[in-house]
Amino acid sequence: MSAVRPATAPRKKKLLVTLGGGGHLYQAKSLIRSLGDAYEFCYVTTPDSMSFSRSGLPEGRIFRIPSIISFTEPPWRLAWNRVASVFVAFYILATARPDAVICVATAFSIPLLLAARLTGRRGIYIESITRVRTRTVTGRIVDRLRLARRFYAQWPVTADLYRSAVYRGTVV
Amino acid sequence: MIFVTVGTTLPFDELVRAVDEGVASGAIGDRVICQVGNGSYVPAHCEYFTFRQGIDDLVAEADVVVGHGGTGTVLGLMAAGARFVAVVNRTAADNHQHEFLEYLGERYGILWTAEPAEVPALIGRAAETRARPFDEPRLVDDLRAFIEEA
Repeated sequence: MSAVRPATAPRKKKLLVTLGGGGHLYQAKSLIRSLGDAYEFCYVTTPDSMSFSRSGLPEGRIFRIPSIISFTEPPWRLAWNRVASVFVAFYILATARPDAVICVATAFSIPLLLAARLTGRRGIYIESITRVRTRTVTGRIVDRLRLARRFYAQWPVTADLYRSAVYRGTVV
Repeated sequence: MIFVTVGTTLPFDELVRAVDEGVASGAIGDRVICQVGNGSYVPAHCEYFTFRQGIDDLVAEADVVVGHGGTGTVLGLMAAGARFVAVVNRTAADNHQHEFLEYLGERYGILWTAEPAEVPALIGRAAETRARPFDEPRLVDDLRAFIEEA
């Protein structure tokens, strides 16, 4: 009698999620928690983000991308970071090969979503829950350039502020 | 017991001082514990500490929590069903806390202020009221469907 071979489980989809600072991190963690263990995760953050607590985050590689905003860096340094971040984004996507890129409100969503768009990967932008009646610069750029295939605003009134945004609820 | 938390990233001396002075003047009559984080003001009339493994137990034990207006802190307090006052940290460089707190105030009845001096009076109000529990549809189902789409 031949042994019964178990069907191989389909590979879990892999999600690349941004880990920003403060409130953005809280939102990212909430979202990751609710996505659950149906997915494999890897992460992107900036080198200068205050060392965050990995608690509550499923195992996954953490990539670093240069910060594209700063209050302290000289202008030339910032310009360099912005150019470099696009190349780094391509590298991260080529290395991680995620099935989707989920950007939770961070500024570095821009180079990531740009690279995702140019390489045919699914990019998702989620505007911060703290933005109700005003747009963020990041959101405006992502919206204007259609960098994301899906743009979530977390409040109904906020979705009206962006042409491509939809409202489907909050991340928490 | 009143528990004051300023968070782990930015100092909020203005708030700690306002609470400390409230205790000194008798405007706040309870025992106060302050988590002062990276702040430099040392309260004279409150117990205090800088950082701790977790604060959930203190939040649960407190009659009223006074928290800085950080997203995670405020949403966490709502999730815990705490009676609280959220205080905008105006010294924080990139401050959009005001807009969000105002919206949560309208939508959920949270108590908040941008003026640390108002905190003692708001503590009194917080003891009598509780914000509605956070109750919004969650976008995760739509997100999952979108990820799974061919």
